[in-house]
Amino acid sequence: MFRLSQNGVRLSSKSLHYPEIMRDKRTEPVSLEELAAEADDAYVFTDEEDENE
Amino acid sequence: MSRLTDLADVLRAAGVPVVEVEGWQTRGRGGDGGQYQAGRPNHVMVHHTAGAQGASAASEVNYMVNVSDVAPVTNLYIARDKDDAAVWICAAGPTNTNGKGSAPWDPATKNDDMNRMAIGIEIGNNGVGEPYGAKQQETLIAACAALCEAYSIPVDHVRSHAEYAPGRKIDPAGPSQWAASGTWPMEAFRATIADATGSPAPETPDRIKAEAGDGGWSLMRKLGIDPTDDKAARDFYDKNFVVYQEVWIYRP
Repeated sequence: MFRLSQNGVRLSSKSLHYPEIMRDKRTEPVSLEELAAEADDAYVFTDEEDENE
Repeated sequence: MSRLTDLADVLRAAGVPVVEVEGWQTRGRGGDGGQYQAGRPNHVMVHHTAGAQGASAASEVNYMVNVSDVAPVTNLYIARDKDDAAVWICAAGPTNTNGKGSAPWDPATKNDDMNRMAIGIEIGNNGVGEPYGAKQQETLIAACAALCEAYSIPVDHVRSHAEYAPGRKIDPAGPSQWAASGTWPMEAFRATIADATGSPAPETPDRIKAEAGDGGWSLMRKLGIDPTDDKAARDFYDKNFVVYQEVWIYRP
């Protein structure tokens, strides 16, 4: 039997629910200084792209 | 020319937690004055950051806004559950999210031009096995649906980095409701977004691919092919599908 079970395509038809956690917790913007202070200096981001036009 | 200065309102109205990054309203990539041209954005592009597993939202957003030489790297960032699965708004103008690639589903988009066409979303995930959080996925769905509705973006234009740059990019990838592992099958993802928006799923080749979700049996039967016939089934797949990242991809 030719195996078709490798097919990774799946459909989700479940209803969406937005739980209570999804509420805005902050109303003041995060400053760039605050971001830098909280960031891990060792963090490495790898989804980098060139600035192509 | 415009910027999406109502992004925070759009996303809050969708019920998702929002964190605004200082200056987002005027932030955009170089060229076009950091603004979208008329009729744009007309795509939502979905990515994972490929940062370290469990990285903090502050670390990832700081890189994409403050550190990267090509900042801003994204419009929106979706944090892990430990950071409340919030949407961080980084930029209201076009961003350097997509790089080089092509959009065969949209002849109006020139090669390598997606940065100017799209709202970029980076999901916090290492992309090599880190499970996506349940709340994080709900936020992603709600955000994509809200963006499609607010900016009249067709669900068929919700695309992945892997679709735009196949062979070079795999994102988004990893355990989620759409995939046990590897690159997400985006037709299934788009079906979820269509559900959330209340619009019908796109009637495109991808829709046919979605219908092949049972391994292609229903599609073969629809086409008069006996799926229990090994040779017929193999011929059908050889002719119509390619395998990429362990996922059958419909080849129109």
